[in-house]
Amino acid sequence: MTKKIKRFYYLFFMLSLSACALFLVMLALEDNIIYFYSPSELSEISTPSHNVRLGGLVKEDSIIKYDDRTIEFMITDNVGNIKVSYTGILPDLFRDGQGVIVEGKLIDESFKAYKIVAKHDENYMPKDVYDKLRYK
Amino acid sequence: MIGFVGNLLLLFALLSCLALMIYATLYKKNLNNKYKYVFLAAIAQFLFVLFSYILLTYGYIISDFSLKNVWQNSEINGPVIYKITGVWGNHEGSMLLWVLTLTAHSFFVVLFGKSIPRKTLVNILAVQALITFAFLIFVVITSNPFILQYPIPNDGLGLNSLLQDPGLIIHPPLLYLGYVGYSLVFSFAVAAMLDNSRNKDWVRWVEKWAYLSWCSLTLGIIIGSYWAYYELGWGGWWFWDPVENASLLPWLTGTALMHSMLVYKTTGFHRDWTLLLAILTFLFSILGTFLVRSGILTSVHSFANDPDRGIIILLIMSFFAVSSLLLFVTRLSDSQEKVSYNLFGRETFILYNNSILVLSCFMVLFGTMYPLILETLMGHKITVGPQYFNTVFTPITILIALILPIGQNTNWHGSLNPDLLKRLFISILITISILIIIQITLLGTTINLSIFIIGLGVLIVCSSIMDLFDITVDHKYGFFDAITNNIKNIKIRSLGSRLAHCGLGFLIIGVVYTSTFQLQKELLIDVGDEVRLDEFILKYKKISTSIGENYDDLILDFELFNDKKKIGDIRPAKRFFRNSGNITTESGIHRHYFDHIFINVGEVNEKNVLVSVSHKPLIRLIWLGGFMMVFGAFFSVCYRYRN
Repeated sequence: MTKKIKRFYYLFFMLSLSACALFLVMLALEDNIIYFYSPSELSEISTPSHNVRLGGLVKEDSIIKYDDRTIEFMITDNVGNIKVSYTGILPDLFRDGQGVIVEGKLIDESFKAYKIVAKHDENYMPKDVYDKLRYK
Repeated sequence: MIGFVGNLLLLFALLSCLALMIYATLYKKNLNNKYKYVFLAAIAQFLFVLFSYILLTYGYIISDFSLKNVWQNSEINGPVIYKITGVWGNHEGSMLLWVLTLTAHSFFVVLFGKSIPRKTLVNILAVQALITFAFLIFVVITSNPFILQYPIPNDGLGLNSLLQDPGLIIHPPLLYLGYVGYSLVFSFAVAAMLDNSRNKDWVRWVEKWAYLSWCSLTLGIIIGSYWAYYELGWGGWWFWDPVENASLLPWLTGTALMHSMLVYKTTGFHRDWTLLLAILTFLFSILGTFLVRSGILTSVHSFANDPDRGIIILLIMSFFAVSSLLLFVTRLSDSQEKVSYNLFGRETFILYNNSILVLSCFMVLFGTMYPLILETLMGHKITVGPQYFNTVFTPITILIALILPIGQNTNWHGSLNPDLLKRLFISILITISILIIIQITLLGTTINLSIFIIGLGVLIVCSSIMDLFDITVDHKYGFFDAITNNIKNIKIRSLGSRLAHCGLGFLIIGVVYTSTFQLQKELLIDVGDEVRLDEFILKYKKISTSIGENYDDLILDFELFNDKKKIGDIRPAKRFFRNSGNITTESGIHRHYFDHIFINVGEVNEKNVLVSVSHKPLIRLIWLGGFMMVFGAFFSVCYRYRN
């Protein structure tokens, strides 16, 4: 084999490998991007049918607990509020005034969360929440 | 006092770094024979940083709250062990540990690098000093742990409650040993490029560092994941969080590097590729530090938001990236060199291995950085869900698992040999029979992708074990003689790598089996209640309190039954920290063979308790596999070093 052909094969191999990888990445990305909104933004846009993340502060004195381990609370960015309901175990650092990110769907003005993203540190504010609050 | 001396020590360390680089340049220009000063400077910078670190630790032990850093992360009544580990439980202290590890590596090179030619050694130390200098400047400017404050408070804020755990004592130092160890590999590669030498000596010298760094990085990741598993209390052990991904990036390229070094050392192929991997691995280590320390991505591990820190680390990273890659481009091998691959040679399979590992590394990188790219370009805030990484890693795992059993059976420049086929055939037979057993015991599950991947994991394990023996069943001897003969002739030379591969197999089995067959229930229970979980029954006995050093525990007592026989107690707890008022969950775990019965406590009130109970079958294989990989690599390096 001459060097030119060899180089061509090499190039072909690398290109096809990268193409496969790119295809895989795009395929995987398609359904797995989760948009992040603050409460005031989420109430403005038309109700999205897919899962989103909602971040802000837990509004003071808004936590209501029900017997069937459902909990309701308000997430605020000091401009808008959205009511969130969640069923299950809460992170240990969940409390009034705490920065929080929830993942779920907005159904009829109320956010049904299936996940509450937990934090390491009580002083920590999720970056996305921090950014959104700062521009208000 | 401590603050002043600490700052002074850091200044001295900076000066000795500078001195080292100046002497190294002088030595290179052959102005005089000053190499001894280079060595002295290397030792001095290590000692200065070491003393400043000890001083900071001392400040923590005596609770000197005139230091802002101590006040923020320690308290008078805290346990002594968490005062000492609290030093690296925060940003400033952990960066000092980073620098300490860096200088310690230079120090070790001076101690153990006697076989390296002096000129190269000086270059290595100079590159290492440049890295140290950059990070020392970073520590002094943006994250100085010796900043004083006035008035002096009476008590500190206390260490973050989640970090008061044995897992944290060893997890960060191990991770840093790994990250920083790759700086040494980087320095060796750069020194080799500066020499413009064509020989393979640098790989021979740095190989053991590359292996040991890999071991500690892997160990750090495993322990970190176990810590997240039981302390964060979500029962998951890997979340595809940006910071976890950041540790995975150098791990993937580091693994590729280990294999590529092997090819370069034995065949002389892949010179440029090995150099590139050495550079990339270190750059990813800095990228990891950048992601953790800048808080630029939303992550459960973020501790602070400080844009300055991020920018400086980014500058450091770009400097090393641009300069080393430029150097690399100018020192490429001549294209005249003959490289020929045999289709069934080991070098070919390691080429596949490297392509896959690097590819997966870039996929993880893309998924991690994509939110950042999109935010900068379009202003959207997004998160890439864990499902992306799972989707991407499924085909990668399958590819690796298909290539590995064949690849490790081949010889260098080898051709297809009948022994290989024989071993492979036996492995496949065993795998299929194990799969059939799984299929029978778990009646009702159909053959799907999970079972297929589990099968591939079993295949890796089988073929790794098979590969240690020469399957030469001679008909002259009996079956038993053949087996003893085989055990006697076990190939110790390849024991390390086969053990590591075996570990990978177990890891794959553990991951897929657990995530497919785990059972989790969340429910409200009262004293006396029973919970059924697969073949187990959990009985909630009582609730009690206990008093710890700086916390109070609220303990739930469970008894675990299997077939009406009691097999153990599980005691999960809620931990209330007195000083900070924080609550953490201490999950309760019972180990049943390779399974875990995992209990996590949610809210406790007068009437009842919210608990999450789960049965995680074969989950211990994940960590067992990880430890096997570490032990295998460690064994390899010991064995090679001895010979």
